[in-house]
Amino acid sequence: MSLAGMTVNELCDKCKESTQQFLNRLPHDDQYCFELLRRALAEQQQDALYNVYEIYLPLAIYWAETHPRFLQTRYPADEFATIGMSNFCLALGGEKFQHFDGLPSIMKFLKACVSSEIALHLRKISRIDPILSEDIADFQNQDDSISERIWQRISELLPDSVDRILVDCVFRQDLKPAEITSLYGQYWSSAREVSVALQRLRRTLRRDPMLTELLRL
Amino acid sequence: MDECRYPPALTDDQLELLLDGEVDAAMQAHLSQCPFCSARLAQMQNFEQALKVNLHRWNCPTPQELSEYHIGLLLPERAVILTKHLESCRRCRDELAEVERFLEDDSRLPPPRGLKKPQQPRMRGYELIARLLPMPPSLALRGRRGPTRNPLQAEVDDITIFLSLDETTRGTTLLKGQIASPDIDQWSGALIELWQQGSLQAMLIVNENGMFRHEGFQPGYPADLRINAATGKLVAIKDVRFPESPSSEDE
Repeated sequence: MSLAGMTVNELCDKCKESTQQFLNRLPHDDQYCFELLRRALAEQQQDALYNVYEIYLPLAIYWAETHPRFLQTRYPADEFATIGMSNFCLALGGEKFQHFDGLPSIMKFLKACVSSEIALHLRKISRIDPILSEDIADFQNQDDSISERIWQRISELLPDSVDRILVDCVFRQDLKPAEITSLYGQYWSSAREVSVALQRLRRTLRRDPMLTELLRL
Repeated sequence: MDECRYPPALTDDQLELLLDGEVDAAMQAHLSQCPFCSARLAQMQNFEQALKVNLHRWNCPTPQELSEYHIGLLLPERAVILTKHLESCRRCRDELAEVERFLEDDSRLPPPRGLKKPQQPRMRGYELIARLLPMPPSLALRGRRGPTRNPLQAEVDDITIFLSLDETTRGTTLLKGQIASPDIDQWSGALIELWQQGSLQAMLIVNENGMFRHEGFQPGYPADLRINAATGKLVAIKDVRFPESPSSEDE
């Protein structure tokens, strides 16, 4: 029977079989899974989409659990796998599916989506002010337009681009002095030089009432 | 207290050293007994923390975008912007390298029979929770034969979600829903997870008018819906219970 003539249920059965063979390290035929994914993502068929979740969500959970930074998240793997699956399906909807010519590259992208969700969570955690909040929800509505205005003001206060590099390294990227010297040894050759330069910049920034207001202090 | 209790007060330079984590027993002792100087240090720490919270990775591409960059899915003009950003952002370079390593590491294939059954996610803090309200039947979704009964309405921010049930001639229950929002385009193509009894029951796709439907709904069990928009917005409706048995849509 041609792939086009197969029902979603038939494709699903074949894809499950093929996936099990893959897990058993046996030769397997990817074409049924690829067609099921195509119907789910490119053609947006709901029943195919449900079957894609049923087959690949457990795999996505496995990838989340084996991510090198998963333990840092202190969240269950299902959380990252489910949102990673959604991002995967949303990203490959419609024409974008055509970028993929086979199952291995699609699976690679799903794995990347799971990894991205873990990285995003860890970014949010590191942004949380441990003094003011322990709840990640407080940063759900973080307004980047305020951040942009703050950065604009800093740029006005620090016309020297080297000064701005240091503020960017410390406050935006949260780099340590040793990391800064290794990246920008031409400007600061030691951690001590970083500290001295930073002290000067902090004083300039602290003295500005507009910046203080933007920071809601 | 507007002056140092044990003059001379610590200088700004000394406070800066403390801010940088320098440990100096004499300065620490001064701070422990002088409210004036310790308040000045606290003010500096607040300023420092506020800068970090507000600026942290504020203009970085999302990790998802970095993954799409790595796979080659981004539009060329966006890829050029990311390439430029990566030149000056150590954190994004690290994340990109991490995803590259993770994708290349096939050494740990999944165990043949060890994959877990998915559990319903409880993403504390990530999702907006829509509040369920009873809705007058006159405002409910309309089926072929007039307004359906047992409608529900859920709201969060400027988003309203209408839900109702119909019974089909096949004896199955049809869940129908519609998302109303000033920015309805945001919700077109959104994916909805339907969870009941801790298991994923269905995946629904929101159409361009904000509508969705699922035949085979089990009205006897409370349901949770999680709506994922392509913009990253995530709305959950929890513990949906319909008050009556379904009306008949196509008798």
